[in-house]
Amino acid sequence: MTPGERGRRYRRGRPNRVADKRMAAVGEPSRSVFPHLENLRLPHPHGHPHLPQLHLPHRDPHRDPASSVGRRPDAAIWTRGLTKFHDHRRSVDHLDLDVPAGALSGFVGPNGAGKSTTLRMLLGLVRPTEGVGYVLGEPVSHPERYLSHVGAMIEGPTFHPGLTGRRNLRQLAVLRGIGADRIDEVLDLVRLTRRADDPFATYSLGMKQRLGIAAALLPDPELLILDEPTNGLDPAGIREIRALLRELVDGGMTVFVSSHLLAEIEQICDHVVMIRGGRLLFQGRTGDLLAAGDPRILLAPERGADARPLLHLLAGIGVRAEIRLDGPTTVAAGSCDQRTVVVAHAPERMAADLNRAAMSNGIALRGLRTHRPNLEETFLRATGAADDREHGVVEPAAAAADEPPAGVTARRIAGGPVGGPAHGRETDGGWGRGAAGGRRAGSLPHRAPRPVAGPTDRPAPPPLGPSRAAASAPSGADEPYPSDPEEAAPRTSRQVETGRDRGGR
Amino acid sequence: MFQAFLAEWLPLRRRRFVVGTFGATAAVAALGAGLTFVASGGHGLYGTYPRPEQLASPAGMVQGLDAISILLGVVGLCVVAAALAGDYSRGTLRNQLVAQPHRLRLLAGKCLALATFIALVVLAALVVSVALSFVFAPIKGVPTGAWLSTAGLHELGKGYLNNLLSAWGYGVLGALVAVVFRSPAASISVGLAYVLPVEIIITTIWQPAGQWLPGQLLQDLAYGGHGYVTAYADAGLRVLCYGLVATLITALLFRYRDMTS
Repeated sequence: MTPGERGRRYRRGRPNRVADKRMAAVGEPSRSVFPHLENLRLPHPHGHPHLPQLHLPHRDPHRDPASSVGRRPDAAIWTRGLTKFHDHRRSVDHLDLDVPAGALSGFVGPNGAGKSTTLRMLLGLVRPTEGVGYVLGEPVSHPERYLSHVGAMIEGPTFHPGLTGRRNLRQLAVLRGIGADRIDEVLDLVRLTRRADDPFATYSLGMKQRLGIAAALLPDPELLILDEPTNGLDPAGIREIRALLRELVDGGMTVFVSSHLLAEIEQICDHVVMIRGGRLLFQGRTGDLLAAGDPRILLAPERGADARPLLHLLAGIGVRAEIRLDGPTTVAAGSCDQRTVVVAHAPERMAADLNRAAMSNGIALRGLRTHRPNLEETFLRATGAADDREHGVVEPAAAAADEPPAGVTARRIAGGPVGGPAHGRETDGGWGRGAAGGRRAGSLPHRAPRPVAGPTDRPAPPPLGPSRAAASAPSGADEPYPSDPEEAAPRTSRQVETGRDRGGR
Repeated sequence: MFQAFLAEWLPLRRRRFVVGTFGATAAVAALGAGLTFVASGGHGLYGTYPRPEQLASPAGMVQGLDAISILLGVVGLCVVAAALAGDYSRGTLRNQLVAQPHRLRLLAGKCLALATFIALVVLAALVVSVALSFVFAPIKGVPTGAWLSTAGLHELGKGYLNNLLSAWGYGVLGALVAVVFRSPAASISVGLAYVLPVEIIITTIWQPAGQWLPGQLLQDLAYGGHGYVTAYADAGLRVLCYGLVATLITALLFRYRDMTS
């Protein structure tokens, strides 16, 4: 039992068996979309039951000596069961954060996930309804003990519009008891010295953002908490801030940065916290999260008829795979050969082995490419799966985990292939000119299809013809991912998106 | 708290804010002094204007200031409500609370700075009013010899303090509505609507209510207990009680309420 759970259990002062029973249900381990990552959590399939709020006066859970048991001494931010109710709505739901000291940690989640509320609780602006939290080793119920070592910019830069940038910083410096020299230093750090004596109201969005970062850096903090720091910055500004954050972390500062720009997070953060609906989805090293993604090798046989033998060949060597038809449905049927792709769910290092195996079995490949999902794709996968679970959709991956499938099962691909290379990292083994007008990357499938029926527990739909159906090799019981939620989108809209994605890369 | 006091002075010293507030105050003080002398001896809507012999008394010098006491109260209410509620609505209070997590110290420092600002505003009104009184007195044939006597200076100090207490009382009300509504527009409009039309209507309909309504009591205080039914000490005690309750509510809300958007 974690300290937070312990605190919740004993806080009320009198036994509440119903609440305890509900609490036990809540405490069940949730299914993971990423079974290899123990830190990854998804909401409980039955959701969190609403526990009655007794509104009884209770003592500060931080006073419980047991509340800090298990706290990592090297954690800059450590919370257990951190919860916040807003008008009977749970904004943050039993959040267990563990941000290591000295890390550049990203805090990601969709809009309304509870990021800002969490940051506010960490800064003592909002009091948690339940749970415990420690920042720099001090409880969040006593922000005065640690905020002198914390710099923060949350929910954008907010300053007096009529005051100059320098005087705005001066106000905060006076409040913190910091000398004027430091103001010049931080202004120089964010390259705002030239405009420092102009009114804040005349600043561009990027300059306001820089001033916000400068204000956060004023106390030369041990922990820097930034909410969307690159919002409104131009590419050069983003690059500068990225370099600045890296420099600060290299200097020993812990940086906890929330952002919607997942590419930014992926590039700069060595630790990532992912939340959804106020609940923790993942926290840990960014590399671990990406490595646990669904790496794929896309094999394009020279002849379309070789796809099925290739599929069985891959099944024989224990590689889960499926056949996809690439490109738009309007392509003539005769070009099927050049649209057939076998997607093998295997890591990049197996590419050469698969190529050799195909060759030795007389299957010539006209192309081979690897695909490793990036953070954005992984994030969408995880949060999309969370969405589906919350709405009671049974994911085939979960079904596969319960009932290992046997044999080749026909799948209907809901909507056909998606280009979508914009979100993934690819290394190209060299495609020939495909039937889809020679669009190299966009015409290839990069994401696992989202079957309407599970591999084994649902009846296979009637075949829809070569352009709409694909065969799947036997799936392992531990299918690492549920299918991509985006795959369920109507085909027409997805084709448009595919085209955009292609253009984007 | 002293750091919070100094920090609050930075936005209060904005040129536009200072010029606007003190300019408006000076204009109102000039108007008050002018009308007091021009209309002396006449009848107004809510009573009679001071007679020339009253203006010639030691307290005559501050009659112009007394005439605008309610407007000074309005200035006090607006300044405090705009400053505190503005910090909420702009989000600057978030930054300040991260820089100074002792919320009550921050609030105390802010209020101290605002109280000092109001004191300067009332002082400016006093200076303008007295200066113009000396200008208008010869025109109306009012002798000013008593004004410069010891008793006159005593009345001057008393008038300043009474008007200052009244303005601070309105300021406390401004702080309360600012913390409750957290929006300058809402807090100023609600505050003014209460102290001006609502209280006046109630008092007009049922006059004894004037002895208990805070806005009316603040007027009693500003006039030094003269001209109203409530004695100065009673009015002061009641205003003190109201002020303590309002301060307590303001402090509790500021201390314990979550800083949401």
